[in-house]
Amino acid sequence: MRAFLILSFLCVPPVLAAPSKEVVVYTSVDDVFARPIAERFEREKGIKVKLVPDTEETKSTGLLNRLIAEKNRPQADVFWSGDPVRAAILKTKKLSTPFIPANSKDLPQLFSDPDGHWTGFSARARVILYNKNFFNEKDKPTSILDLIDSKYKGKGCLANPLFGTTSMHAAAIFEVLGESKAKNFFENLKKNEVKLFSSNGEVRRKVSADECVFGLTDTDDAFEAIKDKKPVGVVFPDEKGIGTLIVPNVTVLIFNAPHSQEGKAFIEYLLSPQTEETLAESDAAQMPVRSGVPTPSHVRPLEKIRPMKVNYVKLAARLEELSSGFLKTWVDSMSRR
Amino acid sequence: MNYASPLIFERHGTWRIISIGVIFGITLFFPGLLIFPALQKLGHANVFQGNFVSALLNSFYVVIGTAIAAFTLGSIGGTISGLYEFSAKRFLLLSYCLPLVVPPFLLAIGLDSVRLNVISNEYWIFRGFLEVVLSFSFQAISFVLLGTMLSTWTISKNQIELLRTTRRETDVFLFILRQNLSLSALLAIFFSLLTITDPGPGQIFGYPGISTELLVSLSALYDFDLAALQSLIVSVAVLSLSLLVIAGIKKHIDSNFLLDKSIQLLTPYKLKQSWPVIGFAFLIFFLQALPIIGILWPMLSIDDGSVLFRAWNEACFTFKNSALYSLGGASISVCLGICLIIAVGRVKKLQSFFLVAVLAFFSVPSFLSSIGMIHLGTTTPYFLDWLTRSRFSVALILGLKFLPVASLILFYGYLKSPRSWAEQAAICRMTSFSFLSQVILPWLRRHAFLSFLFISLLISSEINTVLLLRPPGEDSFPIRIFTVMANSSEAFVTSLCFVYLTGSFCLLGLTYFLFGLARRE
Repeated sequence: MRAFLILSFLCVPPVLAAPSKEVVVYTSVDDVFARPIAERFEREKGIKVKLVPDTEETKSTGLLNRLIAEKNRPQADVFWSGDPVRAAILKTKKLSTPFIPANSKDLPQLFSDPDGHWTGFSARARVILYNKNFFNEKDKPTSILDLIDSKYKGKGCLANPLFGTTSMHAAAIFEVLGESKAKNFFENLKKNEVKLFSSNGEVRRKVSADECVFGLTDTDDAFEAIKDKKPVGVVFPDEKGIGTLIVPNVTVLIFNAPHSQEGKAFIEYLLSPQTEETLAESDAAQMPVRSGVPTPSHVRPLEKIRPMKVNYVKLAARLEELSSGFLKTWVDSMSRR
Repeated sequence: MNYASPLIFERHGTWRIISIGVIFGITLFFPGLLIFPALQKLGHANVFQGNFVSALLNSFYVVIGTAIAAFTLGSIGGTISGLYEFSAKRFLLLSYCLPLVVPPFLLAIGLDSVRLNVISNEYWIFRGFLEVVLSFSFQAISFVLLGTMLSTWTISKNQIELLRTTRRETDVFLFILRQNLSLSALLAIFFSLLTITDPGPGQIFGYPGISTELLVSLSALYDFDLAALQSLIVSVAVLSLSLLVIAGIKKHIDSNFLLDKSIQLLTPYKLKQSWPVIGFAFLIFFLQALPIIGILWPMLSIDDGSVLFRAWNEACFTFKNSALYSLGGASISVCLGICLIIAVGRVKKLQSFFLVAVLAFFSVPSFLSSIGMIHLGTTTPYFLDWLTRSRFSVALILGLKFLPVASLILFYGYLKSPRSWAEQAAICRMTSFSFLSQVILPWLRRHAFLSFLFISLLISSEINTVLLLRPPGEDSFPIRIFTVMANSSEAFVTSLCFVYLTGSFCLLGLTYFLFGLARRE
């Protein structure tokens, strides 16, 4: 019992601790990329950052659920999301508050919410990761439609489209191709025996290990495989067709945030050209969305990519409808195969 | 009733009902915060949408498969470990336990890595369902094996000695195996139920169970009410199944598990020419080592030693929180477990209720308690944040989650105390409080210590609760591994796993040593 009391005491933070300048940041961006930026912000601004990172690798209920559950009295000040769809969900659930940062002036409006609930910056892209043991430079896949090409039957893969950036990609395909063609595309994926994995990390692992010859994933996953010297290559798909889906990071100021001033300062910092440059130089190899930011040679500038033309605000609503409807049924039917 | 007399511990009374009600009330309070409001929407929610029923069936197939694997290997392995003494036994025992500290989804990734990197795909016999069962079995086997080993130590020494003089070694072995069967079966079923709420292996190997449906409701639809209702239905299904199973093995449970008998430690057999025994022990070892080999396989290609140093730094940085969550949670489990088993006592009806209730509670997904705690934190005043939004709240939810494990171990120990003690204490005019503090609690010390160590290990592999509840900036080491693993280099992730597994192995060694000391004492 004594041990229990001592441990209980240790588990409790000091109630009477002096309040300090701090900002609580929930982030779905991978810890390895978010933490260095948070630490630099701490050094430069003298505000302590309490970072709460997420992971899709545990197949768990993530941070967004925590944010939703904490709605009445949030702990978070800022949500730094790896994609705009989750930010749009926060807006729908009235968890975000409008804030138009000064640093957003030279950022493209395309990647931000017109009402100021979220602001986009450095971006990833949805790419094809292919295994070089199976393809020459000439005949490598160049389009997501290659997933339904019968010559690749049973060889392609993607992550579960109910979760993560793949869900956003699915919604984007519906927006670009239209309802009927998109449904056809997904039905053909099934017919072509495309494999469904639990995450983009799994897609990277399976393609790297020769289990699949190619698959859809994010640029950061793809570059990580290249850095690990796996026999893989990357293609920005559909440069002559519907284009590549760009997935910007976004910042959200949480409604009723306990440290809203510090939260705003952190958002301003995230949206600075310096952060975009840091993210481009990191292993995330993210593409700056504002022009004129220096990028390393291996990071393809956004201007050299044909972007998929989607309305990011509408994607969230589209995804919500698809997740409880077509996509859910489609995933169920894939798992029954 | 005279509450001052120690005899109250041997008689039925309303205090038992009240105490059990309070303890189960605490454990069900947090999930209840989600379930009760959701019940109002029962008529409108489409709970059985999509694959719900087939996913539920899939989950039960996995439970059954895992239970069979854990029961078969665990009961034989446990009896061997308890009955025989051989030089590599301690190392093997530690290795058997290693999967206990690794989350099942990481075991699944390790197993998949073995298939991709070590054993050729064409020779790999496991696919889909079998891979999921195997991933879950690693932990379940450890659990059943340890329980069976302890049970072997409590079998009457006189009985064994008598058998030794008249029967062959094989007969002695089979006799003890039969004695252990009911406990092994109960433990196998009990631990296999944990698989229901874990979506990891099912998702990795493409065999989705009910936990995947719950994950979709939460993380794709963000519908807490739907998830809570689905969880409730899962718990009711598990409850019904538990009742059937317990009714089926009740006779064995009554005659073995619930039998009052005092512990007489068995003199270990000296192993001489039992090569089949050694062979079986090593077979389990190789099986349990499979996922660990898979997880650590990329270590072979590490050419930069500094990643190990970085991984070590991460471990040091998060050590305090990891220890507090583990030890705090285990303390809460054990304290509540002691209260619960004293309240249940030797009352047969309460014992049956207790077994069914802990089985059913074990099947309630832990995210319900976590989100319930978050909800509570949003409604309580700021000055209560130390209770609802601190490391204590993480430890509390973890402690409640593993209360069934602690109470089962303690219960087993409690029943070994002689009935006559209370009568003797009453004759000596001891008060009930003195009897509790000077007789019962010291008697339970060994089982409390064992369950404390065991639950500390189980909590160290718990991810989801800590991920949802940790106060900002208070990560544990496993959380650090999993938040960096998606996009760190393979070398760094493997180094983190290596440091974690090495630390866990040392911790297991320490546990084994301490338990050995306690046993000798």
